[in-house]
Amino acid sequence: MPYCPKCGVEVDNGIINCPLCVCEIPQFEEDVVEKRFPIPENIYSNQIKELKKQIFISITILCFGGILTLSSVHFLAGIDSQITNYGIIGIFGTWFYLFLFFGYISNIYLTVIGVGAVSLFLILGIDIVNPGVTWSVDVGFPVVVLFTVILLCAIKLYKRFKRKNQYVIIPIYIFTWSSFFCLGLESIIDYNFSGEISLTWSVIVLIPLLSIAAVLLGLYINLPEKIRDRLRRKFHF
Amino acid sequence: MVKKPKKKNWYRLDNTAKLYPAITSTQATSVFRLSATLKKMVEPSLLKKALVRISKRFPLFTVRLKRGFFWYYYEKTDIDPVPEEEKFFPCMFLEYKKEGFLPFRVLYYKRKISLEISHSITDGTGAITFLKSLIVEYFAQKGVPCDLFQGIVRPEMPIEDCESEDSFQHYYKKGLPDPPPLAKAYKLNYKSIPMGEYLITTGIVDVKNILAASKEYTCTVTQYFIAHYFDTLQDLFRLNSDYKQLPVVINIPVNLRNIFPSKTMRNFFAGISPAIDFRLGHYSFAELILIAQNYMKTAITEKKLAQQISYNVQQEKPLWIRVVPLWLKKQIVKIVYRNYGENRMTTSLSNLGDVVMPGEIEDQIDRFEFYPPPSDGTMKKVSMLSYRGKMYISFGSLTNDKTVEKLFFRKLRKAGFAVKIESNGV
Repeated sequence: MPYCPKCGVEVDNGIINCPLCVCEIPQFEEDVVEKRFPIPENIYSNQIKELKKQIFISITILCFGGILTLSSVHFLAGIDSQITNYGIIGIFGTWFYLFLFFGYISNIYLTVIGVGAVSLFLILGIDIVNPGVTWSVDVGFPVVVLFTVILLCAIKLYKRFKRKNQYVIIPIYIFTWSSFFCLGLESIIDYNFSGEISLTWSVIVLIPLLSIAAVLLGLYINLPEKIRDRLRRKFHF
Repeated sequence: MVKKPKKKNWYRLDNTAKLYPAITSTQATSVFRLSATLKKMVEPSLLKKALVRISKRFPLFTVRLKRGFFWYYYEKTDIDPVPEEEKFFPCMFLEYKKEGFLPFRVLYYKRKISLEISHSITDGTGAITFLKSLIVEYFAQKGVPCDLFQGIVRPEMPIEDCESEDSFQHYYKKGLPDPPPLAKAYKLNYKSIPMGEYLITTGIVDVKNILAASKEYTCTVTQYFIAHYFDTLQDLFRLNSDYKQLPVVINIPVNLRNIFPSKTMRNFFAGISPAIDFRLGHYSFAELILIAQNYMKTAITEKKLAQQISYNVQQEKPLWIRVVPLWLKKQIVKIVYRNYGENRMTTSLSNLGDVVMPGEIEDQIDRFEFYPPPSDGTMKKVSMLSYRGKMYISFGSLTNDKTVEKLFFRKLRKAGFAVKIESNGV
């Protein structure tokens, strides 16, 4: 029978690592030992998948019903109102958003691009339905593209960042990227409405947010491991 | 014509059972496991027949939990339990509030038969009686009948009223003073593993070696392990010196049937809580044994346990508590349990004792094991039993950190015991 060289306890034949200290067990015999446990499945992951599926199917049926009702009102009853058109576009958009948020596309970058694309479709739809609204191409498109690009950059950087304490790093990211987004947002609005860019409120937002992010980052990187561990323990959720 | 008295098809939850539906969650499932590993592969068709026959003899277990306006209650059901092949982690949540589910499940895997049962229905004694009876019936189906044997129930035996007795109510004495309140306990603080996982580490030691060591210290096996567990936690306490330090408390369930003459199959146990404050200094093993011995001697007496029973029962007696609607009661119980139950213990250690099977089949059973219910409040619990000269000590853990297990079993090894370790391989 094999023994763990570190713990001194006996383990079953064929065990690669000690169940207590994970130390490698020297392999001498080739006896096949019957497994005492099956490779365990998580009872809840299947249940959660099933529940998610049921919820999404219910939502799809509801959305389909909503679109059918509004289309009937529009085409059969001949009521051509902006509200029914907005309703149809809104339901389509909501369905696509939920499809993405339910995680049916496993790649996070594609999901973010998808959210951006649905948002573009929504604002374009609003523009088409109401000829009085003309801001979708000039303002809406750049804002959505800016937001999507910033989010993609943030995710890319977050994944590459070695120190991954989400309870500290996520707020830092939110503060930093929100301040950049505000800068871009004000620039787009200014450029479209006054023809020139003069930054005011976004700078006021940027300074405190970036300062807080910098202080947090500095504290986090320089904090002793003991305090960082305590923070992790206290604020984990 | 004399009217036959109508059979009651529901029953109240006992005093301890009332707690469990309120505090049960997907992580703290209140489900514990007892398993028997046979020498030969389990035959599912025979197990199914045996289970159906034996479950008819345990009507208390074939029930469904229902919501009353003020309390939960159990309603009898005609569902026949079906053994399932084991594929999930041990001690997972039982959906016994739903239609078609029972408060227990029987699993099989290769040579092993496992019973997973909710604590709201019975305690370790009731569960081991059920499992042993199931194994005997399984062998009877295989053509290996056994003679009548203590602790084994046969399907043809008449059901006695005392089996369904709520012994907490029976032995409740009105007017006893409350026991002194417990202080807050040191907590094992670890990062949890994902919901739906539960890690088991079992150490196997020879009973004769443990008995010899216990004899040396003139204590019982349980007292020896309490001292050993305290010693382990003492080391851990020193390692984690930055944690908020509080007394270490080990909760020990005591089988009240050994003190009060009860034959109930329902819950009938009380928790006692030996505590040591390691801030006072280092304790030698001899001192820890002495503390465990003295504590057990004074705590496990009829008077003290009657006081404990009375205190617990008194909590549900006042009219103003009884008339609180169930949904509100459930929330209150959760808060009270978290603050005055879970927070008052560091961990728990449960010893089911020696399992004895009839001579006709004892050679055909390799081992018995006992896994504690998972608890997110204590993170780790220990349970143990012995069978044919081997003691099976199982840690149930909701964290990947195995420092406690490592310290515990390495200490046993250091004390000169040969220890074999197994785990559910995660």
